[in-house]
Amino acid sequence: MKNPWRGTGPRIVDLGDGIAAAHAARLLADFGADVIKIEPPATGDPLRAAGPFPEDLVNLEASGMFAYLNAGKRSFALDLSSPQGVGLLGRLLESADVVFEDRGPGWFDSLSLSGLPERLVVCSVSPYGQRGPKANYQAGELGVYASGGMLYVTGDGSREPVVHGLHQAAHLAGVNAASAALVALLSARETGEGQRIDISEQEVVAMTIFPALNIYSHTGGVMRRAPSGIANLVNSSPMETADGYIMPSYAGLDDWQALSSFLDLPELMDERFLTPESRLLHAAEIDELVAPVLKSRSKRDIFHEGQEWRLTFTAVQDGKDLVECPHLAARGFFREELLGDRLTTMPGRVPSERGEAIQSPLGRAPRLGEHSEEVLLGLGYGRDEIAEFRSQGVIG
Amino acid sequence: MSDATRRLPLEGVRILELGMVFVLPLAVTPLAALGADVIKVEAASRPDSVRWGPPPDNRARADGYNHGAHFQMLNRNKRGITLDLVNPKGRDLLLRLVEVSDVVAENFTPRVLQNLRLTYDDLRSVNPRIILLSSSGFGQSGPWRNYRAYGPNTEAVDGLMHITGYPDGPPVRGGAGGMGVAFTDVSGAYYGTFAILAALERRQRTGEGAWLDLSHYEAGVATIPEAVIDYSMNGRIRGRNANRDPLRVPQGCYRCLGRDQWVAISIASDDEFYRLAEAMASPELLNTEAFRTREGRWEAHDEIDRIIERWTSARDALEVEKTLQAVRVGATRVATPRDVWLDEQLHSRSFFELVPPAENAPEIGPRPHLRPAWKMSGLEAQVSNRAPEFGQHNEEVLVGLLGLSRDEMAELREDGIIADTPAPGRLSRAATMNLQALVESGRLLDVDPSYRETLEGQLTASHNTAHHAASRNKRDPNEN
Repeated sequence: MKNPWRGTGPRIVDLGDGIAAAHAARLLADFGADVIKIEPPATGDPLRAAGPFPEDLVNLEASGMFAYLNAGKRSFALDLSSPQGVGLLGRLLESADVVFEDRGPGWFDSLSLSGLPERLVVCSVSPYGQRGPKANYQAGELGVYASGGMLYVTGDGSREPVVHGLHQAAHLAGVNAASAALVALLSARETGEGQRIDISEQEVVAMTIFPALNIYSHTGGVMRRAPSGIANLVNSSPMETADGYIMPSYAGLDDWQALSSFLDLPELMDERFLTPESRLLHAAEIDELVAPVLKSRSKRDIFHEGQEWRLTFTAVQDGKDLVECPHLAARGFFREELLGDRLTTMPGRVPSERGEAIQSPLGRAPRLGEHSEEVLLGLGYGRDEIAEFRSQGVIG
Repeated sequence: MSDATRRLPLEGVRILELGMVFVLPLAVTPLAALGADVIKVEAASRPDSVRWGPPPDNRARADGYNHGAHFQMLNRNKRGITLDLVNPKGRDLLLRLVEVSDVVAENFTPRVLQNLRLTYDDLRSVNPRIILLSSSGFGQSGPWRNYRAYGPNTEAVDGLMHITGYPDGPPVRGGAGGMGVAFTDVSGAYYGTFAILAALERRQRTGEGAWLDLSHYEAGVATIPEAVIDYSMNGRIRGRNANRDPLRVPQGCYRCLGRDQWVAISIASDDEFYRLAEAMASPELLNTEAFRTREGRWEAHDEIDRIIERWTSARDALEVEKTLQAVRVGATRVATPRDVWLDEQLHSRSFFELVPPAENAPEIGPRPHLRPAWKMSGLEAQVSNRAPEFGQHNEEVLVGLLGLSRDEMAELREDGIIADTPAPGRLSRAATMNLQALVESGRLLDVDPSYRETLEGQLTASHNTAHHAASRNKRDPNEN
């Protein structure tokens, strides 16, 4: 019996055009799912145009983000703006388990697919969810950070708030989508019934400030971002070193005596500083003592030596530090793929695994339309039909 | 329709949680809401440190460790027992629980787990199909495996802090100024939930358990791939640029009327830019030739920001949001924590639910908490119970599940292997918050005296009683 799927893992169709759906599908691929990514034939998935690119030269087959999020998937280039293309998608979904998409409220229904199997799980990610008074609001990363509450409490209180770098909400919405889809998949195996899943990026962000939400709901206090000039050590803010920044030990939870000894500052054992409450009162004086010591040493020294003292110091690391990190290298965390002519490092699997059940590492990301023919042959189409689809631009 | 379709999706799954603080309990709690039997294991000498609070109405109580807000939100729907795992009898009882469980989730350091002889091999010897989730800052292997990290430390080492902040300023952490906000704890928890579910699904197919090694450091790096890739590919180290994004121009936060009120505006296309310009009725934005392209606007970003802020600073943030969204411009009022609790979209989705107080503390009243961020059409209801009180289910689990006798239970109590209250001095944090000092130092905007009325009013109005509990008390204690 022909079928377009490989292996025995869950059968996933990735209909996303952003980060969230692609990330969700990629996570399932890490655990043995067979993922078919649908892309527009002419331009490919939008992330093919996102980069980073070797030497910043746009190359649809050398986009860093596409390669990272689509490792191990197959590419089926299919024109969903044509009825024939939608028809082929419907044929593929007849044997699928899960669909991921992040194209906006109502998009999947607007395809008007018929004959979908009862057990199909359709998992949608959008900024505010599929329904509700704000469902059709325009919002990207900054918007959902604003409405989710993390934006207001981040940055310097004497000026505008700032968002986290890059695309936290989109990635984390993808992680949530993968989890919810797995729950639905387990349920569908038992009951034969699939379902619709609706992930809101706003909610994914709101959970990240739950401590601030709890402070309001239990004391009425409305947290805001602290003004600059607030003392750093006792408030766990990054402090300057000779060559960058260090994140100091989370005050109150580490051994104060050990800190005093590590920094060679017996003055820290003054009675003004001996309890967590008194440290808060004298926070500025603590900084005055500690800051010059930290500024005179490298972030790497403070990080590693501090940890030897069982103090919770960590270096503020940048992209270079990450790529060159000996710990990540020892753990085999990174994956490498040739993009253009550059052997490119990118993050690997999370979580990693130990023991015998480890999946083999994912292969590279697919070329645009690399598997279109293979999928259609698996669906029972002949080579002539496939050539016809190609000449009409229905597939690529 | 058969009974099977009415069941909660994770009924029949049992998870032992040997964890504390934020990441691991938060990873597990959504699974309890969906029907998994989660048994949280604490000890007299090791109560979950997050039990400290914040206490309801900022008032200390002798049994405050059962009513703190963080513990409630992170541990709802779980059963709670105590076992001194250092004692061989305690360890033995834990292994008997492992025998009848599907998952063990822990966040000890590797050293401690080895000393307790509760490694993956130890667990597999009693249950070959066990799934073990080990959650830690740096993972179970590698030169930094015994390093310590709290949330903000992870955010520093994983590269996120370096790319967050103002271009002329230092790196910034999410939730600057502390107060417990720890972004990577939640992102790590999201990955932890996924890891458990992925291993359960795979075991269903292959019959094999797993040892999942979740490093919060790696989870963080996984969400900033561009920073890694751009350095590897091009030798470029990404830095901080406040709220700007070269692909969305203009983008930023703009002051509005009132104290510390802002609107975030993000323009994703030329068309959207002109919709903004028209809504603002701004001749400068509409008619400046250089602003026609994204690249042109990027060069003039400072000037465009000034023009926008002149307009927004005379207006209310929520009004700006509504006006601009009506013409499909991406504007969003920057919500305070109070604004989030009152958000109409979140209420329409029943993201919040009121949890009743403990029977012995009715004066606390119902308190709102968050549900998992998943709306599932096939989910009839979720479990909706309080977090366990310390040792609350010792009898229910040890007698009900393992068949211990009353005499055996008495002996365990005498030997201190099980307990009903934390050992004195184990929860060392101050019970209450100095709200006045926090307002004065600028870390709180204000203290809202009517917060309880505000929340109860909102939540009673939208509370969907269809999402009602499968009460823990109704469970058959002999059910395995």
